[in-house]
Amino acid sequence: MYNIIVHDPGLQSTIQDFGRWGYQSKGYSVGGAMDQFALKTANILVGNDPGEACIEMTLKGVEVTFPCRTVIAVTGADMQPILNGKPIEMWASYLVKPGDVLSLGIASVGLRTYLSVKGGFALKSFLGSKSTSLQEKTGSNEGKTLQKGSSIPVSCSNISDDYVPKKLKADLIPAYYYENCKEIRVIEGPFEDYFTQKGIQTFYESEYIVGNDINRVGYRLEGSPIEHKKEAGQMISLSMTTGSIQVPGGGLPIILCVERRTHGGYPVIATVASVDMSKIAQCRAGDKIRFVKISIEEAHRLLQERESLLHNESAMKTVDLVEVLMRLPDMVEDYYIQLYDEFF
Amino acid sequence: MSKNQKGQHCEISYINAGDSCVIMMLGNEISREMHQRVKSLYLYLNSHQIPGVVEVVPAYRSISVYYNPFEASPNKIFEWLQQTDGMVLPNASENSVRRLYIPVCFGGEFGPDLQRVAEYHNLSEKEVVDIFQAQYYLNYFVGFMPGKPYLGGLPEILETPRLDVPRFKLPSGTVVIYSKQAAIFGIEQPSGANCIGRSPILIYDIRKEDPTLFQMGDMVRFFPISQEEFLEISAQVEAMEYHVRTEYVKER
Repeated sequence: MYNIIVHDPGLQSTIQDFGRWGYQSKGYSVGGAMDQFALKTANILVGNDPGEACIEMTLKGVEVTFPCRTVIAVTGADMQPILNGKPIEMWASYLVKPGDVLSLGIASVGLRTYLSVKGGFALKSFLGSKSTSLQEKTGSNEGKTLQKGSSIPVSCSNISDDYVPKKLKADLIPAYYYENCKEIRVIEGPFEDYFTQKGIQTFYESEYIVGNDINRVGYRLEGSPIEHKKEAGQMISLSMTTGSIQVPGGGLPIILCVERRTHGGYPVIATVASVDMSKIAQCRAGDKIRFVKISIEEAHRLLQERESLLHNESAMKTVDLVEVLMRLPDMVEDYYIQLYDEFF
Repeated sequence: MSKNQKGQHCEISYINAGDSCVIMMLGNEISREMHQRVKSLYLYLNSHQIPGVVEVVPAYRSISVYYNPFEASPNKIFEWLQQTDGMVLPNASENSVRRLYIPVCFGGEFGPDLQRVAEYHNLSEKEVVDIFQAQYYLNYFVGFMPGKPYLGGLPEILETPRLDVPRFKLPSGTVVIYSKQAAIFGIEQPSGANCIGRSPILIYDIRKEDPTLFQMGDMVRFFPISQEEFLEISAQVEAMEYHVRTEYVKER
């Protein structure tokens, strides 16, 4: 068994996949990657199933050593990845050799970054998922963040020397920097009728600021309080969804994220469209957002559109040989040394 | 509101919760009758492979149906769910009911709010415990935290408002009451509920293959134990040798 060794764990790095579906009725949070688009792309770039587990990093990335020849990719917020002292590109795959060191810095914009490894991590699933749940203390790495010295087993496959790296087409790479305000598309309800007309208007017409209290469970927003209908009374607790925008008594909205609790009792004024949860995942404290209502049909269309772009043959550009030589001088050098050794 | 109101004969309404979940609303109250309806329908839905559906999650008077938007549309889901319209579902209450008996050390350091509850109702601490442990509580469903039951049926005489300032950390096993409900924690958590005691058992034990104890529809009864017994049972739980007393009864 080969292990990736973690020298620097970054700020909050965990193992995440698509999450633990099927166990909310026992109280388990779904969890999984906050930015599922970035996770999916990282996996596709290295030839994995889209939902394979990756390392999710927050604000500051990891420094790791790879134990064997394999293919990796880094997606999400740009943490200026450096492989053996040389900068490499985000949203692109690279061949690595035993002993290669990848170090990631601090995200300049965006918040979360994903590191995929071909073949995924050889970790045991808990209830069908390798995702770490920090709150429930379950899943990979015993429910904890990666630590200095942590080792992550990988299944290394034979990568042929003529491996051709891939990169995501530039126009498919999401922009994480917005000069003014991020538009977050939402679907109304399910409990819009707990709010006054004025409250609903406030919600759609004001700008909200992402507060300091943001994590994988939820994002608290600051801004204009939303007015509840007094006569609507208390809601009876029910099951929530990722993207539910709850409004507690104080009137300030909370966006529920992947590690949300399964049930809740605050009325939900609107629900973030799945396609825009990746934008939320990359929001940082202080970012401004505005909610825009779309229909559920539109939400599905947008999601499908992005998905088909990603799976389209032309989404992943293969990198031509000249570029390979330029991008990976070390590898080529080693390759020739190896040939030389074998020859003589 | 994207709501799809159904006919008179069945009062289920369907509400979209975003682009990958449909909520089935069966009514607007918390009651045992409603619980039976939710449970019957939940068991039926859960035993069927609904195309595109990822997961079905019950609550007091609703069932959330999560679907994969790449595989199904809400219209297809509505269509499938509406088949259950007027269907005579096997009555969940005809199955036998599971009764679980949970040991609790009340008051003192394990139940710092027992005195407050007693004073609030003008009762002695012993009277509060006697009333609390004299009956079964229905577990409406499991949720929020792994294995956490939603226990209903707290006697009116014990209904107590939440604390003004929530406690920062309450350990697992903590037994609380708030408004008309009771609960026991599986994970250390903050809470504003009145903490009246602590159980040495683990309702969420990650060493077990199925870590959660409670199921929807369980009848739960608490019984008082001394501090010595608490320590004894704790040791047995630690060694995975304690078995929660369990009965199966036919209920009418």
